[in-house]
Amino acid sequence: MDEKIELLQILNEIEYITDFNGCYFINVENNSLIESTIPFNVQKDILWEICVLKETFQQFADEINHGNLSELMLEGDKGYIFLYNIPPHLVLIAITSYETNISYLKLAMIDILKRVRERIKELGDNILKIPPKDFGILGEKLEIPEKEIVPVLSKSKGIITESSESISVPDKITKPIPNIIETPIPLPIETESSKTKPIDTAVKPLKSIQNMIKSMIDSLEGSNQVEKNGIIKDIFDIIKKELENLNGKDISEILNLLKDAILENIGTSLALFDLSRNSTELSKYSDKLKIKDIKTYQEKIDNWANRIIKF
Amino acid sequence: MVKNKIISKLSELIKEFTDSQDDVQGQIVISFPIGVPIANTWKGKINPILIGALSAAVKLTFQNLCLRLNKGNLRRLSMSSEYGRAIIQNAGDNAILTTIIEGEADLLRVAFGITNLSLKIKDLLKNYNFTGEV
Repeated sequence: MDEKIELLQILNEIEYITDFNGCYFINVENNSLIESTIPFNVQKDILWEICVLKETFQQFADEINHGNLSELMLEGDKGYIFLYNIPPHLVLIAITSYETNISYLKLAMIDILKRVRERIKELGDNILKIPPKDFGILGEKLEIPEKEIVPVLSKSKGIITESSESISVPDKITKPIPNIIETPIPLPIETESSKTKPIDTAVKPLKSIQNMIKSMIDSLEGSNQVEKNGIIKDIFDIIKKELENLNGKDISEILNLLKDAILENIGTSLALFDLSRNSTELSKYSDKLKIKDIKTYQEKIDNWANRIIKF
Repeated sequence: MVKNKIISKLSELIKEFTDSQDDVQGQIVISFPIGVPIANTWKGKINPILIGALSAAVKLTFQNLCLRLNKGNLRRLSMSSEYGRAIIQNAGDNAILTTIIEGEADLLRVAFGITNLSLKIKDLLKNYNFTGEV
């Protein structure tokens, strides 16, 4: 059976048996929503952070000796959101209203989750072939480009007649919200400092790159917040450019230097935890990164920079 | 009230709560946005980066997710694992209260107590700012 249809059947079954009224499957490998029972997406940056948080909370559970993480429940003013880990590649997000009997719901989910986890495990890496869903993003209705709406509205005004005062609504208005969306990971903003100080991309030994970064970190002291952001952005850019010249251990060492500097000068964030986790992973590799990995880490570095540095 | 006095009062508050509940294994109060523990009764080690990430998760990511999915403001987060639970909730604008409890704990009783405690912490830390200065 088609994996996509099977995923939708699983979600429909969860909604049929329990009081959940919205379920999503998220692929944690590429931070994308692959199936859902309601036609709304959540923003890409939130999906990215949810995928990181899966690791964060598992590590927290390990530190307090509570074993494997099974569920996260968010209690909001107007309802609940549940997040379940579905190994190896998925996270299930399920939402319900505030009136739901949580005890019954949790009881029902014990059996359902067991079956879902077994089935998803059987599907294995085939899950990764499912393309992301292309829905509108919840809460982004107002961001529909004006170009599409304005001509339609002005056209409709012309149809109002004095005698009937009726408005004939053009087809375009009655259509559902168009599939816009897919927020791209924003490209790094070019700062004044990065414009004026071009980054030397020549091959350098680890020590010289480390020294350059250390001196940049030293210059953070006494700088104001805007300057600090600019310097840290430059450091991110240098690391990004040097990825192909360094091995995993070297990159890890540099990322650790940067991590401490950010903690001291900007403060903590989820992105910093993500950076720290990746640094630990990189420290295990003494070889240079493959081209595919370099691209992945360049994307990650852009993402960290955008989340850590708030101009 | 001077900073040290506030911290010592805060430590007393959570110690009293932890001691009064058999199924509570420990509590950690994390300041926000700096993301460091300012008082705790948890006897194990605490990774500062991890604690900072938890505070960011509750105050930013999950708060944002709740709003996006139309579930209002995030009141608390409950993490269930194989051998226990942790309840993480806001204690005012400047702090997050993390309570680590046993798997078999009476959740209703503990949750009720934590809500009350978080209000006390909120009141105590209302003038506590980013740098920890009062």
